[in-house]
Amino acid sequence: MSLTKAERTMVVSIWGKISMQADAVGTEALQRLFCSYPQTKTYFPHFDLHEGSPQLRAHGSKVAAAVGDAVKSIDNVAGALAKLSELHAYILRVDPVNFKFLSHCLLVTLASHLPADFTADAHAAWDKFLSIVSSVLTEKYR
Amino acid sequence: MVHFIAEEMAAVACLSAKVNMEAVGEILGRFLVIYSLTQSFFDNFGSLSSHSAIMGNPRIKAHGKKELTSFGSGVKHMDDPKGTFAQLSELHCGKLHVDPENFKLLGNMILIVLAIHFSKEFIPQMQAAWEKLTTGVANALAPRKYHR
Repeated sequence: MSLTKAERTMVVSIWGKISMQADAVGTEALQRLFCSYPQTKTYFPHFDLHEGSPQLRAHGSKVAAAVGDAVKSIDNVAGALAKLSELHAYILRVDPVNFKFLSHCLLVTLASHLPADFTADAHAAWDKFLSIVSSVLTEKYR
Repeated sequence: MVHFIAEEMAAVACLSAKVNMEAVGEILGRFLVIYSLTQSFFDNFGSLSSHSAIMGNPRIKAHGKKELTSFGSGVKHMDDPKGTFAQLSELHCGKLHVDPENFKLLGNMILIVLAIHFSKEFIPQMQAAWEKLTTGVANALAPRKYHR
């Protein structure tokens, strides 16, 4: 699966519009994940996951930075996320189903922050982009 | 039976009262754009040749509104989606042979369109309540043998 030129332009454009609040977007996506899919909290037993927690914000920034790196290297997402791919496969061993949940929460977050810009085309491009990110992060599992 | 706490029921009721049916009619169009394989269920609905054709197709919009109206009855009977959707389950699974996974995907689409229309008001707790509702409806539409 790969993005068309138009889809790449769309992904980069949408990220550009929220890049100043990327950390907040990452944090909010995690909050939504933990609210809607409370079972995902099991991967963070050492974190205070309450709204406003510094650990939640720090991790949200990490998630946003990773997405940002993937956007910057949209022609080579596998290369950009190689280390994260190894981390998730060999150390964290996150069940792949959770990437779908986080992707969905990222889409909801983007939609709520950019209501006018999150057209069907933008939505389709981001859905495809996050599927690519998820498959890169799980490709070393087996 | 799906159990909602009072805050969840209030969250759902609050947004349902404000939902603009015309605006959310786009849900089905988005679903067909993003999950293009599902377009095969709507072969006789007119032009689905491009994203803009799908989003502008009046029959798709009308069917989207029909689906949302039906979903609305799920909102009115939040604690008994199985009973509410028994006939629609038979239609979708028994006659149309729709893969039940699609009901979950359509549920995701409803959430994203709600996020667009309610923006900052669609806080995480609001999303969680609606996720519970759409999951309940998706499970109720699935074939009887999958029901717990």
